[in-house]
Amino acid sequence: MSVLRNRRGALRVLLATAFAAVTAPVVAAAAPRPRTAPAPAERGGHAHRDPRRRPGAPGAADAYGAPGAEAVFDEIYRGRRIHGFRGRTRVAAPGDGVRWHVTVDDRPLHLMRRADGSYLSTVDHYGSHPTPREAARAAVDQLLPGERLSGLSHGFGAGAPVPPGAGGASRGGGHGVHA
Amino acid sequence: MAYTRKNVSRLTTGERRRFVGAVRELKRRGGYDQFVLTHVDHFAPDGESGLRAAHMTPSFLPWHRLFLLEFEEALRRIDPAVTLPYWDWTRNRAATGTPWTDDLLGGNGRRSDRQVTTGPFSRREGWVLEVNVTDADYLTRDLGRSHDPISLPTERDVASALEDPVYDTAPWDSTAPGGFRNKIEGWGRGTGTASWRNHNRVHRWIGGTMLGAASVNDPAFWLHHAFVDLLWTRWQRRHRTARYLPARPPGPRDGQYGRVVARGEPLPPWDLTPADVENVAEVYVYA
Repeated sequence: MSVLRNRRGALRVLLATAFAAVTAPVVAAAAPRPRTAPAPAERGGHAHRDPRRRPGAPGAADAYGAPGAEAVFDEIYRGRRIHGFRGRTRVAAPGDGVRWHVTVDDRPLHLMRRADGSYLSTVDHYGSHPTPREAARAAVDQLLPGERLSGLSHGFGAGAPVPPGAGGASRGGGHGVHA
Repeated sequence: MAYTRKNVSRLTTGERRRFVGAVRELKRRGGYDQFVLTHVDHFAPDGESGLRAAHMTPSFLPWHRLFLLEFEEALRRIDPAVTLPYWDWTRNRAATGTPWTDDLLGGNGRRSDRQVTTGPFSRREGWVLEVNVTDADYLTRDLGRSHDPISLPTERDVASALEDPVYDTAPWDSTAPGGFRNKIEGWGRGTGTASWRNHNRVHRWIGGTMLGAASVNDPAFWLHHAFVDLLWTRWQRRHRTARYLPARPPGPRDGQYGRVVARGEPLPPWDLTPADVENVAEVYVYA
């Protein structure tokens, strides 16, 4: 690569090669509608809008409440039910190794941990909050009347299994947060 | 010949029309949503395990540089005359001025549901979100955060980051006490308004879609990040001998072992290294 870079215009060649590999699915997707299963989805769990799939259908919270998780908070905040479960099994992860699952109106809210111990959510990615409950409330603050979470989560996370019916998992692994 | 990325406030009427047209065409073809997904997939924060390529990490700047280059190339395949404009939020600070006009990004979200209903990226004009953190399929914005107003970062905020002579410092994450990268990415100490700086603060100032994992849905993302990328080139000009850090990967006993991309290591998903894209003057320049 360094040899290439020393030649005039070589970085452009390098970029074109790199992008050709990454964007192949994009080129292939030159159709009026986006593909329903794009390549990146195979690496991680994210939720496309799809009316046939409603993540977090009733029962999702029950699934969280199955053996292995204990409810830590359960409250109505601004008309939304916020439910936080802490996993009983510790995992190898930075921090105290506790895994959290949080739902808003029974739909999973993907939480992630910062190195300073605070939490951020998919709804608010550019700031963090001291506790899972505060992160969940901040997410609710962003929701409009009638708006519901989709279950979207990033692809390179803890890899915590998402309970059945909680959405995201069927797309290749939504994630809980390692706390 | 290198092409030029211009200040969005200096685009001609024709340049605005062609930029907007290329973005909308990429969306129509399905390519735009791939970029939304790529960004979602690479958001791995520093309190979790695994490699961080895009955020809370030294490669925040080269990762977004490559992300923008790839997007720009996709636009230029549609219209070879198009380049990414940048939005200088230290100068164009009004919620009603550039770039929030009907011939560019459209305006603020409406009061009732923050939905963007003006300009070329309103739902009515066919800008439908396919990938989002909620079931809303339209763009939302809350410029300036109406319920609890915050200001855009200032020239002084940017200057304090540009003055730092070191690219990044251990522990190479959102808690790094010094270094240009964390100061411009904008992870301040603690929580709340004062802790959101520069890049992060702009996401918050725009609000709505730009605040979440699917922020790329708002084309403002590209104009914002083009300016962040410009600031990297400004920092490089000011500190001519300074390079991307870390130069070598942290060792096995380091808490950041396997979690950050060193200067000569490949940056997923591209297989190019930060060193490869430290100097891009042969590809594009800022005017």
